[in-house]
Amino acid sequence: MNGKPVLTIARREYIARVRTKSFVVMTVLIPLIMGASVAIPMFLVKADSPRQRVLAVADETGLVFDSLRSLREERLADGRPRYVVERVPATPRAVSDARGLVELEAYDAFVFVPAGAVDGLPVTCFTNGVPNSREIDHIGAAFNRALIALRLAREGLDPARITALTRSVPFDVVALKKGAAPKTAQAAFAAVMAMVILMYISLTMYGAFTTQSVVNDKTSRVVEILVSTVSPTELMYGKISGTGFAGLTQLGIWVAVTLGVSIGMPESAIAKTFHAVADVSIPALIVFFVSGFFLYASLYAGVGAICTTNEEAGQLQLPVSLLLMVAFFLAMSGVNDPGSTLTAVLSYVPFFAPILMMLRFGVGEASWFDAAVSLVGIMLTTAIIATAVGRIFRVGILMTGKRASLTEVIRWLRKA
Amino acid sequence: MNGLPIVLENVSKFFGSTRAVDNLSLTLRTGSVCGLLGPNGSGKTTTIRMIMSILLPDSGEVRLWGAPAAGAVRKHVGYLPEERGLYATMTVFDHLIFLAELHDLSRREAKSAVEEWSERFTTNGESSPKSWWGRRVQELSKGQQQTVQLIGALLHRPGLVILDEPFSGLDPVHTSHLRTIVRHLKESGIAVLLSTHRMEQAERLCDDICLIHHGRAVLSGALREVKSAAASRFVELRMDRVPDFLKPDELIAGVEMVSDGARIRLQQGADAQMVLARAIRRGRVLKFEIVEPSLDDLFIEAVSR
Repeated sequence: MNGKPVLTIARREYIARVRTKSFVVMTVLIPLIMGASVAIPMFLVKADSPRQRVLAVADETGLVFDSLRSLREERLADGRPRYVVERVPATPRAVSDARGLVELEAYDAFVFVPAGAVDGLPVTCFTNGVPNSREIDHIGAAFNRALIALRLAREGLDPARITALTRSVPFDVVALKKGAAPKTAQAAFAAVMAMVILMYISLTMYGAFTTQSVVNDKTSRVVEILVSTVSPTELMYGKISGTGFAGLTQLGIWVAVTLGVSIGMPESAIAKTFHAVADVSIPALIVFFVSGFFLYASLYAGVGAICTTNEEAGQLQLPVSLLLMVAFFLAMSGVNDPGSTLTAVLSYVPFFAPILMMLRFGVGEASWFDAAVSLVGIMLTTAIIATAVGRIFRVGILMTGKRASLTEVIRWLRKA
Repeated sequence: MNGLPIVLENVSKFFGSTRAVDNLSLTLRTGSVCGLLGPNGSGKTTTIRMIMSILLPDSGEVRLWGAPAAGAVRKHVGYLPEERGLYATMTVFDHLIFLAELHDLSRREAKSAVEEWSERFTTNGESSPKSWWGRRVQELSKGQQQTVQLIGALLHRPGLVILDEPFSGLDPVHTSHLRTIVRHLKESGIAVLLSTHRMEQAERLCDDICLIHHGRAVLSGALREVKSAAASRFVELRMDRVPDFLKPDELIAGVEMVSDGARIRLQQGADAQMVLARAIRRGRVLKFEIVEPSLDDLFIEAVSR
């Protein structure tokens, strides 16, 4: 194989891809969508900031109402109390009136505390329509705290002391591995998951582009000039790397934008994920990312090699997409237990290695040596696939009209 | 490079049970133009694709300048495929540079070659390919696209140029211009193999021909020799009546009625005088001429055998 034609083809492929409208649109649109998907819920939460609620309480026990201190002490941003708690007599008449007032929206909610509530009878909350679940949980917790405090007092225990004694402490996890710096596992998980998801998305997208680019050469008939000048293997390497680097360029732009955002907002979740990624060893991530990219791109190019139209290629991409999906789900389940034997074994299987080894290495489960072994496997597999695809491509080139059968493809592989 | 630009030795190619090329041998000399002739589906394109190593022969050998055709030697060939194909959204200039670089030219060499060949392809009264440089391939006419593709085949100064049906889709102006280009190539010592079923074009251009039918060479050699071997076998006859008595027999191989008489193809070894004698018996002969066969005649003769 010769490097120059690969470079020429790759460069053309790269420029053609980067100049398409879809590339520009996606490059701009994806960060916007990602940004919006973070910003809109945040905005909605802010817009939904608590307003003052009027709470009516009918207390048959006569004890709970006075214990709702925590609710009464809450303040809104402007200093007004968050809850106006009104007592309603626990008579059937008053209770029915209170329910009517909820329907008329004079009360935001009406809570009926039955006499046996301290011993476990349910407390009922009436609201107008379906309530904000978080707010209701908040109110419910306050009533429960009041009831628990009453029970403790009945047993002669001091509620404040019990709270202090049963307080939980933060549980920090630090993963230790020989030859690796200790890291906080949660941060590494988040970082690696971010990488895995990013990898999955870009592989799916640019894999399809690779198939398309191979099929287009055939439909546009440029292929005859190409294969009469360069070897099919050179052609395949050129197409895969041209499309691949276009994908990496797009990713690079996105990462740069995110980096910019994280520098601008050092306290944001994005910035924290970024620091965690940096902690995991960026070179290793990049190496697995790129090698995984080329491995799958070569498979997708193979789909292009046996198809004659884009519609057909769309259907035949499914097996490759499924394989990728399996790798993705293995990573998703593996993230809970990256030390498991299954994950360890699968991280050496070339088609799963890019994602799984990235995961294991990222969280400190695998050593540099493990990573190197699996990387060599990935690269060898890629080379074998690209060569085989080149052969299939070469024989399948002039085929028009029908898709190759499996037996035909095998025969081509032997013959070429 | 030494050796003959193209040598095909007993090359065969099957597609399933169909014999596309059957035991074909062919040579192309340096600085000559060879016409690969034959009706549609006779195996011309398959032969050319084997020369370009796009298809591999099932048996036989293809050598370019003495080296196996599948090797690096292909880079010295300029190829215009029958199925023209260019990247539709690339600009003409970028596309030409791409094709040149594919043949190992440096960026600088590529630029000057594109410049030079664009000049050479400027026909009188036509816009120069240079003025299309900034346009996308898809905006060009079919003839212009073909010109771009042809330029692309010549940029790397090939020693051998293979043109598959180069005249298809060309108007008379472009056809004549293409002939001029081919002659220039020949004069500068480049070997040209062109396939066509346009006999009048082949006749005006080729030094050698190879006529194939059903994948088999039915007639080959230097055009002049092929023609003189068939000389004295073609007769033009004009009479005062329609010569409808002429029927293929042991004397006459074929008759083609033309506007004012008949064009008669004699059997191998038949004497033209016998036909004249036969005609005189049937009426007044106004014209009787032994003519040089056209390539069309030879083609039809070879194909109908």
